[in-house]
Order: sequence, then structure tokens, then C-alpha cells
Amino acid sequence: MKHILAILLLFSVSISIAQTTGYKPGDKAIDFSLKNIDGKNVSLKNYADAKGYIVVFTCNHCPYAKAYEGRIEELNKKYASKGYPVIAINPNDPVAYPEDSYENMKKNAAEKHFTFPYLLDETQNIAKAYGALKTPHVYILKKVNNDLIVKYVGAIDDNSESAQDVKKKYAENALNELLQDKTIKEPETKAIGCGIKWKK
Amino acid sequence: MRQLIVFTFTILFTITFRGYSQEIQVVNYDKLDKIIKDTKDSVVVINFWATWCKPCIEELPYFAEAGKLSNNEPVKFLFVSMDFTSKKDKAGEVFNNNNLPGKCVLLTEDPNIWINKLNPQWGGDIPYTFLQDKKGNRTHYPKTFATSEELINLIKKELIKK
Repeated sequence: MKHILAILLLFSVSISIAQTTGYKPGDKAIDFSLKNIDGKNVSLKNYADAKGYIVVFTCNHCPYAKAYEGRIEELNKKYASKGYPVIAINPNDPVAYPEDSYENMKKNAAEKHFTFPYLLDETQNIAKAYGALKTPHVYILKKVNNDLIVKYVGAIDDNSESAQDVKKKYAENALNELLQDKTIKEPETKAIGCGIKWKK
Repeated sequence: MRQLIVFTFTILFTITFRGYSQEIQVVNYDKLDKIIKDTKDSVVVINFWATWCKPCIEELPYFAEAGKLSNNEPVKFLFVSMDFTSKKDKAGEVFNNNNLPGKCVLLTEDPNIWINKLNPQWGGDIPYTFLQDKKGNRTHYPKTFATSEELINLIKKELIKK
């Protein structure tokens, strides 16, 4: 019985840790300086004209991330001109997933003609600060004065497998509501994705 | 008497679960929940996995090992594939090749709807396992198991619950 209690206690502790780390809508997000596929570092503050950002944790190897590449590109095409560019970040440990190496990020971006920056989170510190758990994992940030306020956390839409069968475009809905200064109806959604592989 | 019950149960279990020529059933969350809730008088081990998920594949042998418990104990296993529906056959193949106990279903529904019904604390990263005791209480383990002993010990703890 004692063991069970101890396990339950440990478990509830780990849950509360999981809950307190990671951004929720309303939180202030940190900026970063990460290496892009062109070798230059990118920070959010580099985008002086942006109203905010669509930060997407993604990678090369994950079938879910692959399924969303086209849709991430669409988001950038549609919303960068409206003040919300896509900033993609790969946080995976390339030792665990060689397909997620920096060289392969360059290759992947060139093949798919990404029009957004694709950054390497080599230390994994940004993914940890944001609380990203999986790929893809979206954080929509809005610039408010000098702060970056998290407005949306979660999925791109309701159908990973088939873009044609999407019924709810969660991220787009949030962006449209943001652009119209409306309250975001669903500021947080859940999705299955490939767990981020943390370095040992 | 107890032995008879266990024996009958084992036979039923064998027929119900092993007998399937693992054609994976595609289910929504409500159906999955019903399957689990309807599994009475035994501990149920439910594992969310996918063929593309490396840590999931790495821990499957532990589930195969833990599956041996069901020879003498009322334990059932249900694997829930998060693969795309188009990859159903591949999931079936991997499931069979790993000599896993119990059966496998493929859950296809917007996770934003079902994840919060299952456990609002879960962010949707797999592998994910939960155990249901004989009374239907569930304990969640959002983690990758490091050894088969770790998993077996958790199952045994559920088995000795009154």
C-alpha cells in the first residue's frame, strides 16, 4: 500500500510539474536567437513589422510533421503578409533521429521550397521553455507593447492524415480572430504528434 | 473454484483476443472507451502507440513480456494505434511481429475531442499507457517504460488491489 501511495504521489507531482512548465494562452513568451538553414541566426525581434508570430515546433522525420509541411507553408503564405509569419523550429536530437540533422533540415527545406525560416534548437532550451512536447506543436504569439503574449497553443487543424478532410482549422481560426481583435474561442487544442526526443 | 474461474477466463480470453486474425478494427473514442469499460473483472493495460513512433516500438517487447502474466492472471491488453487509417495494415503487421498479447484497434478521431475526455493532463505525445483495475479505476502513465519489470510491477500492483 505504501508503495502505491508513493507511486501515486510521484505521479501527481510529475503531473503538476508538467502543468506548470510550458506556455499557456496568456503567458509571456521569450524571444530566441537560433540558427536558420541559411546559417544566419533568427530572432523574433528581427521582424520589426510583424504583429505576431506563428511559432511551429516541427521536424523532418515525423510522419505527422511531414503531413503538415504543406499546411505550414500555406499558413505562412496566407498570414505572413497579414503580420503573422511562420517561424519553424526543429528541436529534435539528431543523434536519436539522424533524419532531423541540420544538413537534412537544409535538404528538406530546399526540396519542399519552404518560404519560412527553419531554425535549429540545438540546445533544446527553446522547446523546453515553450513546453513543446511533440511535432508539430503550434504557438501563436502576439506582440503587445514589448512583450510576446501567447494567444494560441496546440494543433494546426483537426485532421492530421488528410488536409482535404479538415473540418476545423484551429490555428487559422485563432489567427482570424486575432486579426479581427476578437476573443479566441479555442485558445488551446490537443493533438497527437511525435514526442520530441530529448538529449540524454 | 478459483482455479476453474481463472481457467474459464483464460479460455475465454484466448478465444476473444488471441483468436482474432489481427484485422485491426477502426474505432472512435466512445467505442474505445466502451471496449475498455466492458472489460470487467480483470486489469486492463491500454497502450497508445504508432508504427512511426520510435520509443513506442522500443517498449513493445516489454508489453510482449508482460503479456505472459495473462497466462495465470486476469490481465488483458489493448493496443491503440495512432497510425493513419491508410497505415492500418502496417500497424497490424508490426503488432503481429512483436507477438503482443491482446488486441489492437486504430483510433481515428480528432484528438482535440478525445484527449481531454481520457486525461486533460495529457498533451498528446506517445507512447502513453494507462491501467484500469478490476473496478474500473484508471491510473495514467504518460511515459516510456525502461524495462519490462517496471511495467510488470505496475500491473501486479493493480492485480493485488482489493
